[in-house]
Amino acid sequence: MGIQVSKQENVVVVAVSGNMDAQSAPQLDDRLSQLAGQGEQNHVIDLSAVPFMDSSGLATLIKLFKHIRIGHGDVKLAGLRPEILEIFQLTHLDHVFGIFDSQSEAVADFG
Amino acid sequence: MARHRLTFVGGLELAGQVREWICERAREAGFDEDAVADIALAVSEAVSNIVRHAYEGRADGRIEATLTTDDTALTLCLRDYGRKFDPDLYQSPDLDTPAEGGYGIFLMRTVMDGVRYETSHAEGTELILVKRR
Repeated sequence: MGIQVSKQENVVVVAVSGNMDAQSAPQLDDRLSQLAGQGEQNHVIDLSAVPFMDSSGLATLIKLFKHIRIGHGDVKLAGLRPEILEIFQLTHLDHVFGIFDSQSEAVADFG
Repeated sequence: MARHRLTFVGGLELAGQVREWICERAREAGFDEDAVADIALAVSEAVSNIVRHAYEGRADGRIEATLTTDDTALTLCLRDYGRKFDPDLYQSPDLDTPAEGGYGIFLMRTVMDGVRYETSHAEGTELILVKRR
């Protein structure tokens, strides 16, 4: 799994590449926990290079979301492939996360 | 009808290994990419659950995968020899409240046409997943 972190003004952008499953999710979880622990509040997770995600990947994103919401921040997702978007729809998590076609749209939504 | 059988031994890395093996066989059997995506998700959830719960996270869990495809369906049996799973204890997730767990079996049941647990073996559990064409 690849994890690239960058910052665009007050938004942390985390670009993930590779599968998000039970084996790889802990690596992302560690990195996101580290970022949240540094007080970063606005997160965009770019999933355009993630070909596969299961509930382990969902759990990692929900954990970040819950942590960030305590400080009234937000987590927005970008670039989901159709089969991954379907998992969010099946679990109704598409109502929890802001979901955008592109990273730039997600960043812009933070205003 | 085609039948394939392979034994996997390991930990959480098996989720990816079994998933790739099954998806390759499903494509060979003519399942389209939408169906393969559903099968990949179900297999990943199933194997992750086996390693985490039946084998309690151990790195030497044994999973025997038997795959049968015919004109009507793909049937996958995943046999483990770990702690037995009791399907009666399963609770559906509350989809109105995001949670960090509990979606795995729900997703399996949603994307597959059949999900059944055989718990009558003296040791371990057999999970049977069916995807119709």
